[in-house]
Amino acid sequence: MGAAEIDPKQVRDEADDAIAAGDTAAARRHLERIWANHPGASSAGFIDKRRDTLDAHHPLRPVRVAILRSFTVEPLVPVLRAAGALHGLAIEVTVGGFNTYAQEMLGAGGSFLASDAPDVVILAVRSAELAPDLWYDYADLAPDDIDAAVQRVVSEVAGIVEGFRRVSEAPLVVHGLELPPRAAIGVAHDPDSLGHRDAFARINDGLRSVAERTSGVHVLDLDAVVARVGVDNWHDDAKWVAMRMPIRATAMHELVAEWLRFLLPLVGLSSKVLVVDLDNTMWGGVVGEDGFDGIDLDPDRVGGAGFLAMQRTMLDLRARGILLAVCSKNNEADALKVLEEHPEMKLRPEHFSAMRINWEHKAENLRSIAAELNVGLDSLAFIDDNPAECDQIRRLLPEVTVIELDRAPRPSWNPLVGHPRFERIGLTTEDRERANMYEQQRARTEAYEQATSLDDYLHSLNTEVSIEAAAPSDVPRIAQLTQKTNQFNLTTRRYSEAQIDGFRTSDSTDVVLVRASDRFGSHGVIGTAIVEREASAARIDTLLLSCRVIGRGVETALLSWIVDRARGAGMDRVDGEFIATAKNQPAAEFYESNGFTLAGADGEHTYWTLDPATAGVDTPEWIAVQSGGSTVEENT
Amino acid sequence: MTEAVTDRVIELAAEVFEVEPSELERTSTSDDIESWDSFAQLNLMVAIEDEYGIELDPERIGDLADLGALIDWVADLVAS
Repeated sequence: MGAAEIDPKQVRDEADDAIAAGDTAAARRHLERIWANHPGASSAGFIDKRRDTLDAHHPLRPVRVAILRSFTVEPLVPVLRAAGALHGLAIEVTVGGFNTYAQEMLGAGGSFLASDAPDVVILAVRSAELAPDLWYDYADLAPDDIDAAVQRVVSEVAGIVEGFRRVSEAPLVVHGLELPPRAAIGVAHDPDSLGHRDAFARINDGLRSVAERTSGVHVLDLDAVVARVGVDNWHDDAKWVAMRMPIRATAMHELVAEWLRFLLPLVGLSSKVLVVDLDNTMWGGVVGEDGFDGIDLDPDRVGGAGFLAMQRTMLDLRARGILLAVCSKNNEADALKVLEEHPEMKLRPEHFSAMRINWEHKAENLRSIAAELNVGLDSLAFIDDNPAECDQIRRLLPEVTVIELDRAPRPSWNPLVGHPRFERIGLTTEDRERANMYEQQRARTEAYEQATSLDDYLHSLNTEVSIEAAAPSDVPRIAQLTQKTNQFNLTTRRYSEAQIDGFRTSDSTDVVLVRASDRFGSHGVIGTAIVEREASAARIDTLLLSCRVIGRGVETALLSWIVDRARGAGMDRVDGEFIATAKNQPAAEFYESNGFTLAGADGEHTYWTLDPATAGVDTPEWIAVQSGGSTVEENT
Repeated sequence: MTEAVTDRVIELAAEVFEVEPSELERTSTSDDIESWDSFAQLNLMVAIEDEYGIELDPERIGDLADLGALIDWVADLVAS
């Protein structure tokens, strides 16, 4: 798949020249080119040494990763640090003892998992260590022995994982098992026995079941990674025997890339919107010059087929809940004609949540797309074949993820596939429906433009809200909201699924969620609050609302519900807290405007309180609240 | 060819050992460089293999007298 040919030495020099000149945007581009040209251990040291430059261009998110293992992972660490830095992470790695993963997971002897509190834990154990009998001696086993071995391995991992949950709340990524590439009984099929590969596939099914019933546990499909690399390009027999290092130097970056596909979404670094250029990105050629019939979207040519395959990838991303937007310097009529009428186009105007086809600066257009879709600029990813446009965005909007399309996409390759910013861990119903919800949002905006006043508009929406305690099935969505919500978020505390589940099952904490719908459709779960009940006070640890519904009073309905609850329980106080961040200005006035009084301040923190016996918070009259799934009270 | 390999192996070694390239020379050994331990040696081996797409026999790597011997070995493999 080789990148555009570069001279690595020259690009390393260019990177250092840019660093010496203080040009962090150019340095980032050169470091990305080095990695794209040759990802792996030989480029990792150079990039890792220049992590400060990437951090200066746009601050990296610190992440502590613990790797527990049955093999030598140390050479993978620099590769992970380098690849992580290029994707926005400042990764620090702790490695567990050799083959002591079970003791560490179970917390024996003051395991470092409890004391170090890593942000993410990876459990990397090989098939040959976890199931040596099945791996090496399968042919000697009777059918019952094979079934028993499968059961044994799954319950062993289940026990370790459940024990781990008592030691740590960190998300856990468990390596699935590699399938034996060559079955011990050859091509034969034994109808009475689980096949050699099937036995390992069955273990992987079991691991996925363990992950489904334990919050915050995820299975990495290692066999798929090995298949992409090729078995013979993956295994390093000589270094396995001598140093317990089983993976070839040239294959390590593939495992690291897979780790990052978990790490980025787990720490909340996810793009919500993909902004795409048109000419030479969506199709081959320039429509303004080559004309409607001259652009390449020919499925029978490798060029056209490559662009069509990338359009298919964009539709895949949209199905994950990532919004698509167009930003193109073009005559609008020319470009729209292709989008609307070209017979080969897979993407049509209705797939895009925003479009900017004009001659403005792309940085301006990206700002206005972010504003229209109500997301922060750091939620945008931007793909363009033009290095100058990419350079402008890196300079003016360093928080945007820039994907420079430096070679034409091919039917089997494009840079969107497997990009870690587009990964989602456990798709929620909201993710799958998000793009359609934005369609409804557009209809809402049109209604707003037609309504004569804001009040009329809010009434016309027929907003209905239901507020209730979170159920186990709501935990992933609530954790996701705490991870991703930046604007209307009073404390911006990020919680893992395990932590949310801990709150939910605690006697002294309530986890409350809000669903909203209106005449255009359902928004799903759009807000949450975590309330600690103390002897005579309710303390609001977290209160947040998805940006989709900001400004419609839903947040006030939620606060009203909490205050009513506290009054019903005879409490003296409802305490709230606001922690100012770069992004949550929309929530800054929330407590004050709802009648809370300032009780203290400390740096970015302000503390607010209200006596529910003498004061209340009124739900806006245009919202109908349904509580706990039972009574509907219409506030008039 | 050997000159290019020498420069590049020294660069990779400097990155792995976290020293300046000027602190390394052909006669450097693990006794001279404090951070040159067995994991650093493995990481250097992997970086060289990845750079040139070659395989270094792990049983032979411990027998190398100094950095110069490693460079010559790599240059031989790259040339062949």
